Amino acid sequence: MINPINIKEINTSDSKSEMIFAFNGVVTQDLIVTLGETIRGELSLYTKPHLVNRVFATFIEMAQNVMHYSDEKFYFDQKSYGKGQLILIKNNDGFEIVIINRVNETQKKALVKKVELVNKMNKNELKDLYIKTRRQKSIDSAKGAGLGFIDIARRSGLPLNVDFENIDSFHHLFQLRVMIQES
Amino acid sequence: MERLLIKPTKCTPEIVFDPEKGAFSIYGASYPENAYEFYTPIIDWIDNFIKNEKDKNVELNVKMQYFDTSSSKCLLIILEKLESFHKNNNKVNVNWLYHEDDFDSLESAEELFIGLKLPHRFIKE
Repeated sequence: MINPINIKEINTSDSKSEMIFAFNGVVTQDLIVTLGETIRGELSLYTKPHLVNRVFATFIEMAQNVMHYSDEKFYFDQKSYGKGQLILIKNNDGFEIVIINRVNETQKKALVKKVELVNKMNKNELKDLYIKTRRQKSIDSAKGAGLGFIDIARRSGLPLNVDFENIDSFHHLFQLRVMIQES
Repeated sequence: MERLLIKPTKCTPEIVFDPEKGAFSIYGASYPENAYEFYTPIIDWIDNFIKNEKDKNVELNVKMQYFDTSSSKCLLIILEKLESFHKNNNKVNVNWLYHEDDFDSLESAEELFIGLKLPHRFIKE
């Protein structure tokens, strides 16, 4: 079961968390660019450049994941774009990025396997896996290079926090929450 | 051979490859919608350059504020091609410019050269 993010709770005055943005809809390249610029602009006002860059980089990989792999697809100009949610929250420890999108059964199995692999690895093992995977992958095998989840885990330095919720017998809601801490 | 010129956008870098001078540059950010589509013409141009040019000095200047994982795969392919050109009696040198606040980007850049025999240096801005 996915625990819903309670917007009311986040935005109360005594809350330690603050919503920076929450988007629900079709994730296009233009949207990713706009939200990426929002992150750079907004966070630069009160965050160290290094942390801004890390949040930006992690957000881009996560948002691309929704655009390319959400099972709910929409078509513009003969290209398909995935639907989902992109959320950025500021809290005491740093920033939390959340993506939610629909996946099918096959995708769920692949995601579970990938996350299990990444989550049992330490920093150096993740680095080696990243370099090895990048060398082996052929460039045209997919839209992505299959490196996104490793990159996200490396930038966060914490285990990937994933949840699934059944929609029907063929579909699930997939949620990925990633913390980028002040260091 | 024609010069390769690609204007920058918010999510793709400026590319200027001058075959006469051997001056190549990649400046900007790289997180295109489809990295394969963006980099294929660039990789094809380099293939063509390698086939046609001999006894050349090439200097590649790179300054990237950010590149995503798909772009890093494509950048690695470009560096591998330049490595083979370098091994083949030509000289290639890569200057990688980075901002001192951005140690993640420097680390990403350093990792691109692991296992490559390609002269390069990192220059702090």
